[in-house]
Amino acid sequence: MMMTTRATSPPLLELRDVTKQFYLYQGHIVRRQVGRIQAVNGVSLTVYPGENFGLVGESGCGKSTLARVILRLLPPTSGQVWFAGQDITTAQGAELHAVRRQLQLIFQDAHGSLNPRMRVGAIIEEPLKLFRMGDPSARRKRVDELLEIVGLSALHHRRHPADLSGGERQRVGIARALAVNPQLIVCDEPVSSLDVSIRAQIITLLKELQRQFGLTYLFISHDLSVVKHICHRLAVMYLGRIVELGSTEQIFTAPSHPYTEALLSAIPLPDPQAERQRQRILLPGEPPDPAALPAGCHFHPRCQLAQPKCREAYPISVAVAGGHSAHCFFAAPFPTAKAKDGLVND
Amino acid sequence: MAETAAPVVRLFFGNDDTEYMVDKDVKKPTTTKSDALLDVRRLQVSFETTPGLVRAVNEVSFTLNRGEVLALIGESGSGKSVTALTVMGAMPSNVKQAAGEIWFQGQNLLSLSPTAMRHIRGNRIAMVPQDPMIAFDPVYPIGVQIAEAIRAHQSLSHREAHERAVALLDQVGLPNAARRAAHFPHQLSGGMAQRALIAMALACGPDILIADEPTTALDVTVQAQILELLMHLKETMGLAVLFITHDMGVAAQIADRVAVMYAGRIVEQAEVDALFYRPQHPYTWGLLQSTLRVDDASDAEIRAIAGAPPSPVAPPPGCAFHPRCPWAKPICREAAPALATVAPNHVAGCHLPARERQELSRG
Repeated sequence: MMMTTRATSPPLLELRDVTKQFYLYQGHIVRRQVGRIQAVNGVSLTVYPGENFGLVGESGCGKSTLARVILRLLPPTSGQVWFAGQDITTAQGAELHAVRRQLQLIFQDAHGSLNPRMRVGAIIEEPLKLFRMGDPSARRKRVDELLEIVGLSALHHRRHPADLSGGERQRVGIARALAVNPQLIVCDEPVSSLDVSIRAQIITLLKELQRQFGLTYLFISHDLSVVKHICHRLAVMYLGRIVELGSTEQIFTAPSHPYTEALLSAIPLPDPQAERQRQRILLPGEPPDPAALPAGCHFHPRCQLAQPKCREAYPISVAVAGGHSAHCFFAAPFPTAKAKDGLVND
Repeated sequence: MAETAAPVVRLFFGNDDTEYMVDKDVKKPTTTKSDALLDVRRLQVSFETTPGLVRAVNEVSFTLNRGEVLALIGESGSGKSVTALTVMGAMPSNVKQAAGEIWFQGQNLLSLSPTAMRHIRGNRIAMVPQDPMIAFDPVYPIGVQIAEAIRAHQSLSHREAHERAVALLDQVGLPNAARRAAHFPHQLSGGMAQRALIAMALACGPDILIADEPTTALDVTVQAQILELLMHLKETMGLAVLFITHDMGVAAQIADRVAVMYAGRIVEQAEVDALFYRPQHPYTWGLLQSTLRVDDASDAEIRAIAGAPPSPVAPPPGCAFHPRCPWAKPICREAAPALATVAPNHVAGCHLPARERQELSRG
């Protein structure tokens, strides 16, 4: 039923065939290009208002580059970024400034992303000043309100980031992102640097804020257990491409790309008995150098299912269920999957 | 060996009493009954820092047997790494005091001279640090660094040491070991560098391997490979592994026994199944509750532990966990609970009566 509400509302964010390449140069006097890194490769996805879209993958898969492209911190090499019905790929000046108010970011490293010489109040107030929202007293009121919302108190107003614990710093980062009432918040690994007990607090807070303010998150993480608890839909990335896309439920119960399967099986469970019985898919080797991608399907050198054809062509997207697709020659297409599992039309 | 160790022991005991009195004639302390490979007793380590004295490790005791993996679990600042470094005899320079005993092969490591300790460190007890990129010297090829570690303890020629280094790299599953040995650390990926570090730790065939979060800096698929390798090496070489981690999942996967640390103390220690299925300390229970699982229902409620770990400079009085404990009683504010045996091979330090603790395991 969630599918229908999403289908009727226009997408908030839409990526159309976005590609980002970085070029490698050599030489000082005569600079020449010696290679290129395909960081993001033909990524298309849509994020609907009020949903929580997860971007998962291991280091080097291009998820952070993609986030930078969406935030217009990096220009894409090709493709378009549409936000709220507007093509922001080439937006400039006042137009870009207006878009940036709607797009905010929560950083992974709360320590490095807060200015150590500013007080917490000033940090949260800065975006309000930047977008000329309210007079000083209104801003002060708003900052106190934001501190309250993220579970801090007015007492934190005059503190410096160094006086805060890791969890408190991340709360300040969240308050700063919320300050200007954005429509979309990009969360780049917001809990990766936190301790287990604090991590659960921040995830609970993010979920609560989403419910309260109808926020839309683009949630970037390498940790599938975190993503599972917070995201509605997921895209799994490997070497710059989306290899599998679907609802969290679909991807966790019926992973259709061998990489997703291996990723799920690699995560240790906090359950000794289950661990002993588990059949783990051990991927050989490590992701190849993004400057020298293997031909065909990028995953074939590590894949158990790899066949000669995987070396030749990149597999097209196969719809394995409604809203669930995978880029694999061996993914069972929709009708087959439906017949096999005896699924009723959802 | 024991004879050289005995006379100096008293120097480091501080105000400890006669219970562990060591004489020239008595090779082992009277209390030793277990044949544990490593026996850490009432270890205390404190640091001198600008804000004040920090008791990083407080009354920590544990044993480690041959062929066993003991996981030391804790959040940042819980003292797990300091414990490991102290066993290695590699404490930071601002250590004010290290008291207690660390028994290994009839010697108290805390009382050894720096020279004697140098024969053990890297030789009998080796360590795999967390970040392979920082642990290696960037300006030497990895083969040279491993050979250096071998030659530090064994009288081999450069050529023999190098051959041994290549054999070790091969043993830890580095493809093309002979060619890789000539590579510099930056030419290796994270997973390969971690394998090379494990090779270096194994260089002298140690009895004990201390792994300090060896997979935290790695991706999950590579983490799975490294854990598999460590388990394989443990089986084939009969290593005893002290595995430091903050990840309950990793501990469940590889540990035989688990010790949970909080604010410098071990709060619970048990065999892995008992600890995960019948936790007897509210902190262990809280950790298990707040750990996210990939096999949960996606709408499963996350139960976080309220608050944050205490400041190491000014820990709360009584039980250090009481400000965050949902079951805290008045006594928890006053006295620190002693570790008590709650079941066979299961100790926990909590004031809660047994009946209330039983309810923890039911959730």
